[in-house]
Amino acid sequence: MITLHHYLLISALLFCIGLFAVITKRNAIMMLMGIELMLNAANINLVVFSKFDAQMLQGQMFALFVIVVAASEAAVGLAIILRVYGLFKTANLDEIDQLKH
Amino acid sequence: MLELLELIKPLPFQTITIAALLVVTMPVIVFLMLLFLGHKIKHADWLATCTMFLSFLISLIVFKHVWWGETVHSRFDWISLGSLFNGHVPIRFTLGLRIDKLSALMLVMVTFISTLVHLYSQEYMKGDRQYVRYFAYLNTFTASMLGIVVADNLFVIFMFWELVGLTSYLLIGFWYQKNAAIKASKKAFLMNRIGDLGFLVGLMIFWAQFGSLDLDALYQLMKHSFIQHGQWMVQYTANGHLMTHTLHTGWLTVAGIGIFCGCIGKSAQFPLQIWLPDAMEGPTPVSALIHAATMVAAGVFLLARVFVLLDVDTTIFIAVIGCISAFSGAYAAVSQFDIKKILAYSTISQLGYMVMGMGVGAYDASLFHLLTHAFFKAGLFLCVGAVIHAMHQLQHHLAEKGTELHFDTQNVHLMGGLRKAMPKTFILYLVLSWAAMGLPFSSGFLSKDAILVGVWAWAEVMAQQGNWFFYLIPIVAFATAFITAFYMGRQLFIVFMGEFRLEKIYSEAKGALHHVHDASLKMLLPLAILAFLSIGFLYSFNPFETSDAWFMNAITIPQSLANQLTPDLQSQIAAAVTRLHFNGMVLSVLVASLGLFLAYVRYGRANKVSVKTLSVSPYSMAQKLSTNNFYLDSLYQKFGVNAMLSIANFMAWIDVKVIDKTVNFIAIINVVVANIVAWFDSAVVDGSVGAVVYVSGRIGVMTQSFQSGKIQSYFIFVFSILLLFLAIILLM
Repeated sequence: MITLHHYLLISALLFCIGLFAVITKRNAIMMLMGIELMLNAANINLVVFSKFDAQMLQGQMFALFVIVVAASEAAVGLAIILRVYGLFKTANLDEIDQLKH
Repeated sequence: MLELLELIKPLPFQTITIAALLVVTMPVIVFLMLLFLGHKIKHADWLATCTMFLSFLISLIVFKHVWWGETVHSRFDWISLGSLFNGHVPIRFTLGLRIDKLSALMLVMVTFISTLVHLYSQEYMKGDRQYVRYFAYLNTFTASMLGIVVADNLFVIFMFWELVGLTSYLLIGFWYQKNAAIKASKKAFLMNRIGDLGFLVGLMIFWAQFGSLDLDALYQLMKHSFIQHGQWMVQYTANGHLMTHTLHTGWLTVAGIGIFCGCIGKSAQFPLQIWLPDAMEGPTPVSALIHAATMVAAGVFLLARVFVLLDVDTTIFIAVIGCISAFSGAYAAVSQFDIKKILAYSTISQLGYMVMGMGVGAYDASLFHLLTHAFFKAGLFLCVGAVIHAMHQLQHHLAEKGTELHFDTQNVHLMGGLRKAMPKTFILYLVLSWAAMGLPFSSGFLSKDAILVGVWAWAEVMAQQGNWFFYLIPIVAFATAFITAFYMGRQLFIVFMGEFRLEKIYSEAKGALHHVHDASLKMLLPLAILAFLSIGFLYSFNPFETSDAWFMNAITIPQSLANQLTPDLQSQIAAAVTRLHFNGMVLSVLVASLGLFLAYVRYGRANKVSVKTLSVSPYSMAQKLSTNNFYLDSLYQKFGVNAMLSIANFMAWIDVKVIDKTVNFIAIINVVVANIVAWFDSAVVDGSVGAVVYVSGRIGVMTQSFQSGKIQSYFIFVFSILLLFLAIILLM
């Protein structure tokens, strides 16, 4: 029997993987992908909670909304990365530290 | 009851006082012009001379109005210095001009002689490097003297008095390259300061007693003061408040003697007379001015101003001092060989006569002598200046001819026989010295005779109480008249008669007498005028009757206001003067002729005054005393100067050993304290500041490490803090 806990565990696992990717990956695009993972972990949560509360579809609606926002966020994020790459000739986050103290 | 504020109230200016003010201020303006623009003015000498002549003309107008009119007096408030008695009695100094017959006469005399001296100086000082400065000084010197003459206030007189002292210092030390001149000017200045100290004390006493130094106020208050139980009292109201001042009578004498001390200094009386012979270091026309019209006359003039304030003890003191000065000056003049010094000592002696005259109450005679002496002494000095000038030119001439001779141009031993070479100067000199000797038909005879008779009459009246001591003064005075004729005769014979000894002493100078000439007209003209003014007929138609002289008739002896000299005594003296007049005159003619005769016997015959007799000096004690002026200089050196020097050295020692040591000690303590403070500053104050800086620095370093610029590390921080908040919320 698959309970809410299993779903939530999967979602937490996915969030952690996404967080891990955001923190550790050198490449900015990889980091952006980590963010996508974290967003999707949140989506799973929203959908699951919606599933166990059948009368309300708010969770699913919210997940759809997050997907839309994530798509535009990815577009903006990729555009920023392109500009950064144009400026620094690299997408390596370790080398982009112009803002330090 | 007298009201002080009424006595010193402002008086309006009149034409005559403004004219007198002009007389005084014009030379001052010229002085300033010459001082600051002197190099730009083309004829500075003529500017100075003409200004002085203009002053003389204006003073003639003043004289005309005052001599046949009455005393003019203008005054205004000068300084108000707070007040006494809870603001009821103001302390007020006034300033003004008071022209009476005496000051009008002095104005004319001073400006006249000064004009002549200016004219003479143009020739005498020609080519001097400081020609313009000389005339500037000469002008201000005269102006200071004129200030004394017109001032209405003893305090203002004192100020001009000091100015005369200063300018005489400048003029005596005019040739500042000469060490002797510098020394002489210092000596004159210091000697005068000693006398002025007494003057100041006298002023303070009068101020304390009367609350004003205005002459008219002083006369009025003195008239109303009285002696009671040995106390000198005066009562007057000031702004309605009754003031009663009481001093011991001794203070009246002290005040009189104090003011007389000023006269002792300025008029070169014993014991401060030693500056005058040294003052010969100045240019000769200056000597003429100092000795005749300005500086030394100021002392006698001051005595005339305060004459009515003097009490009997003071007048006796004045008479004695005058007598000593007259005798010692004449005695010292006998064996001087510097031609100017003979006249310098003669001045001391003649001033002694005037002071003595003031002391014995022969006020008019004394001032008459001041006038006549001014003319004949100025003339004598200018004559002697002409002789010195001629000797200088001779020296110059010889040098041009190739014989470099360095001889003292003022040494009478090198002169002689100048009669033939300088006939005009000789005749003028004869007239002038005739007056100085006090021989009949001269002005000097009239005035000196009046003083001598006055002294004799005074002694007779004073000796009525059985005090024969008073007779000493007329005896010494007549003896001095004898010596005066002797030394003047000696100078006359040595300089103008006999052989020209320069030729005998220096064989190179043979025939030099032919190169000695009379001075130019510019120098002879003042001489001639002064000689003319020394003729007795100008003053009295009867040359043997002094009381006929217009001067003696115009100037009357003022009633003494210091109560002890009773009117009775004054009228007794006046009676004695009339009685003794003939005897006195005969005696004075006798002694003077005897003096001249002895001088002729000793110096007048050519063989007597040869090179040999003059150059050999078998000095007897009497001669040594005379030559060295009673060793007064050495005495001052020993007891005055050396004592001062040792005190100064002692003070220097104290300065170095005590004061400097203390200062050094304090300095060391200061340095130690400063070091401690410096340590505290660097260790504690700076340390704490440093600590704060260090801590904030470390915090800065710590916090800046968060700003790594790596986006992922920011992310970690944000996330961990989010977790932290969540944990806190959950735990709570």
